[in-house]
Amino acid sequence: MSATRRISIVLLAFAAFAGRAGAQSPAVVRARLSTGVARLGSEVSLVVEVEGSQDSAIGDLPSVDGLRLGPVGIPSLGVFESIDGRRRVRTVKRTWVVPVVPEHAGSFTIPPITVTADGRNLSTPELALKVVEDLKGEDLGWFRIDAPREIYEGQPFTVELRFGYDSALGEIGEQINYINLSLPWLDQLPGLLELDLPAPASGAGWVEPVGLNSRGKTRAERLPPASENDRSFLLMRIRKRYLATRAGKLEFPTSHLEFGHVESGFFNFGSSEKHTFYKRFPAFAIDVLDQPEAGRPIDFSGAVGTLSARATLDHRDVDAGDSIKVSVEWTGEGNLEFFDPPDPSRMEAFKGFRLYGTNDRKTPERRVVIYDLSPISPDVAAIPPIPLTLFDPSKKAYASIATDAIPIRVRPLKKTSGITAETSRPEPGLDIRDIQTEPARERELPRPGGGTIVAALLGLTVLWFGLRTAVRRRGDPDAPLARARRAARRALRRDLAGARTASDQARALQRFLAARTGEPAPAWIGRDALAWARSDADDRREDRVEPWATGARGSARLPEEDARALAALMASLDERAWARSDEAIEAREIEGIAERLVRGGL
Amino acid sequence: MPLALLLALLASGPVGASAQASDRTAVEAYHRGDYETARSLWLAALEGVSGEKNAHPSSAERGRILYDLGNVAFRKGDALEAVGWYTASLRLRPRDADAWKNLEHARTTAKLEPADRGDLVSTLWRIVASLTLAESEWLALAGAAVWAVALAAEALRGGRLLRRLALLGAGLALASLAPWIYHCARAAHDPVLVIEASERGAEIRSEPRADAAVIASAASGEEIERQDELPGWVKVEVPGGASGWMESRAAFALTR
Repeated sequence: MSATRRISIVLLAFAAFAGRAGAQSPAVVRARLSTGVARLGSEVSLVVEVEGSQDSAIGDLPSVDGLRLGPVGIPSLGVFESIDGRRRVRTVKRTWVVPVVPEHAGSFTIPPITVTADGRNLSTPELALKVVEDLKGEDLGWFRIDAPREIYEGQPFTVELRFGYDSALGEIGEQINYINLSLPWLDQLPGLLELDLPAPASGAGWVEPVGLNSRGKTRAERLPPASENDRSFLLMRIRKRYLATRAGKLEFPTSHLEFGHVESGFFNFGSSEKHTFYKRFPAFAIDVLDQPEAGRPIDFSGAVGTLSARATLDHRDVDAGDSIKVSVEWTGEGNLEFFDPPDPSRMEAFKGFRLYGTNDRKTPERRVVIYDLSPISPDVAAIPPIPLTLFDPSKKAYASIATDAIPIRVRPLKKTSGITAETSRPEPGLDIRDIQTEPARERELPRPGGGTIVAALLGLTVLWFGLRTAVRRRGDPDAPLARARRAARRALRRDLAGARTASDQARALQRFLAARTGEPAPAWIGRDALAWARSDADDRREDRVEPWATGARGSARLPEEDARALAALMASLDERAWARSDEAIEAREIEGIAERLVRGGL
Repeated sequence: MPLALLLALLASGPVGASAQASDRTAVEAYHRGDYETARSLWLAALEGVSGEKNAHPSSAERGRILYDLGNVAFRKGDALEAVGWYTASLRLRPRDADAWKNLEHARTTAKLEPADRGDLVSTLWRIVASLTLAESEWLALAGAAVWAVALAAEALRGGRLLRRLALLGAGLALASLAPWIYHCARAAHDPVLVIEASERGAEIRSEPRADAAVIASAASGEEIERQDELPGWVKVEVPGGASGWMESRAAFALTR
C-alpha cells in the first residue's frame, strides 16, 4: 500500500488521537483470550502480540492455580506498513499463542505476563477467565453481534451487541439481576480507533450496570422484546463505533453473555452467584480493504463514507465587503471527524470573495464548518457550490458532493471607492506612465569635446605655473612687507579714523608712506617729498627699495604734481603739529592724496 | 547676414514635417491599441528612414521614441523588452522621470531587482549618470574655470588661504570630471540586456550553433558586453573573461 493512499485517512485519525498515536512509536503489547468463558475440558488460547519491536521475547508464564499455561511456542511474524503522521511506518508484529488448560471450574485471573521488547520490559493486561462445568443457557439466552464483514480503511463502522434472555425468567432486575459480557477482543484489536457514538434517541430506556469482561461496567439500551422459536426475549444492546486505520483482517474471538441471579438481589458483581447462564457468540472477522488507487482525485479530502452536504447563510443581502457566515453541514455515515474540509480560498469559483476564517465543529453525526466569507464585488450573485471529494464505500468509488449555489445580493458601497476584486482592477499607481507624444524640441547642446577638456586642464596647470613663477620673480607676494604694502590704504583709513590731532594724522601718513615704500616709518619724518620723488634709479638701488616699490614712469618715483601735493600735505600737518592747537585736518583730504599717490605709482 | 539666416529657416521649414506626421500616426495607433503599427513607425523613425534631409532624430528625440517603444513592449506583455527600451532611453535622457518610473515598474513586473535600489551607492551612481555627454563636458569645463580662478589668485597673492582655495578648486574640478569620465568609460562598452524570460536565463554557447555546447548562462535582466554579431547570434563576454555566443532574440542592444 502506498504512503499517499493512507495519508488522508490514517494521518487524520492519528493526528486526532495524537496521544495514542504518539505512543505507537515504542513497542506495544496486547493479550487476549480466545474466549472469556470456557467449559471445563475445552481448549482456550492466550494470544500475546507485540508490535513495533525488532527484538522481543515472552518471559516466564505465571502460575495460576487451576489453569495450566504453556508451553510458549515459536512466535509468528507479521510485517505491515501504515502512516503515522507524515511518516511511513513499517511495523513488525510477533504473535505467541499460548495454550491454557483449565483444571477445574472457577473464576481465574491470569496475571500480567512480562514481555521483553528491544530491551524494555512490558506487561500484558490482566485477563479474566471463567471455567464452568456446563455452559447452561444456550436456550435461555439471546446474543448477537452485528458488524460489517467488509469495510475500507478509514471507514467508520459500528459493532452492535444485542443480547437478552427468555422473558419467562422474569423482568430484568428481578430473578435475573446479573448480566456480564465477556468480550476478549475489547480494546485488544490492533488497527482500530474507538470513536464516539452518536447520541441515542431520546426516550430510550437503559439497563445498568452491565458488566464488561467482569471488570468494567457500562449501560445497555433497552430494546423491545423479540420473538424467536415461539419464545419471547427481553433484549438490550450496546454499540461500539470504530475506525479502521489500516488494511488487514480484524479477528474477533468468541464472546459470551453471562446472566444470572446473585444473592444480594442488587447489581453487585462482587457478590457470590447462585445461578449463571451463558450464551455464546462465535468468533468472526472483518476484512479491512485498501482504498482503490484508480480514480483517486488530486484534491481527495480523506472523507470516507456516504455523506450529504448542505449550506446555509446567516444573511443574503449584504454590502460589498460585508461578512457572510456560510455554514456547510456534512451528514451521513462516514468519518466526519477526520476529513479535510474544502478551502474556498483555493477555488476559482470563490475569487470574488475573501475568506476571513473558518470555524470547524465535529460530532459523530455531523461536521459543520462555518466559513466567514466576504464578497468584494457587487458583481457577485451567489455563493458558489462547495465541493467535497470522498470515497463512497457503498459504490466502491470516489465521488464528489457539493452544496447548492445560494443566490445573494451584494450592494456596492456608497461614497467610497469600493472594494473590488483584486484581479479585475489594478490599484492606483501600479501602471506605467503614458507615452510621450510631443517630439523633443530641445536643441542638441554643442559638445566642447574631450580634447578641449584635456587641453583646458593641461593649459591651466601650465599657465598657473608660469604666472606663479613670474610673480615670484619680483618677490614673494606673501612676504610681510608685500602684505603691509597691500594693506597700507586700509591701515591709513583705520589710523585716520582714530586720529584726534594733526600729530596723529602725521604719524598715520608716515606709516602709510613707509608701508608703500618698504622703508621704516621714521624715514619719512621731515623728509623732502619733492626731492625724494625726483631721485633716480641709482638712488633707489642705494636706498635698497624693493623692486615692486618703484615708480612706473621714467626714473622718477612719483609724478611731479603728486609729489607736490604730498609735500604740501606733509608741510600742513607739520605746521599744525607745531602750532599750539594741533588741530587735525579733514581725513578725507589725506585719504584722497594717498589714493592719488597709489595710482601715481607709489 | 540676417537675410541668409531667414533663407536658411525658410529652407529648413519642410524638414521634419513628414517625421512629425509619422509620429502622430504612431501615437494614434498606440492609443487605439494597434501596437504593431506604432512600433513599426517608431522603429522607422529611430532608423531615420523618412528619406528627408536631416531625418535622423536628435538624442532627445531618440530617447523619447525609445521610451514610447518601451510602452509598446510593455503593453504587448513583454516586460523584459520594455526594460531594455527604457534603459536605452535613459542612456540618452538620463533625467526623464517618466522613463525612470516606467523602468522600475517594468523591472518589478519582470521580477527583476530595482534599477535604483535607493542606497548610497545607487544614489551617487544615479547622480553621476544624470547628465548627458554634452552636459558632462560643459560641467567639466565649468569646474576647470572655477579652479583656474583659484589658481590665479594663488599665483598672484600666495598665502595659506589661497593655497587652500586652490586645492579646493582642484577637488571641485575633479568632481566635475566624474560624469564625463563615466560617459567616456561607457562609450567604450557596447552592452546588451539579457531578455530571455526563462528562469534559467539565456544559454551562452561556445559557437554560434544551436547544438554547440552551453558554456555559461546569463540571467534575465543582466547587462553583458557585446563583442561581435552574426545573423541570429551575438558574441558576448562571459563572466570570467571568456566569450560565447547567445541567440540574438535574447539580447537587447542598449546602445541605440
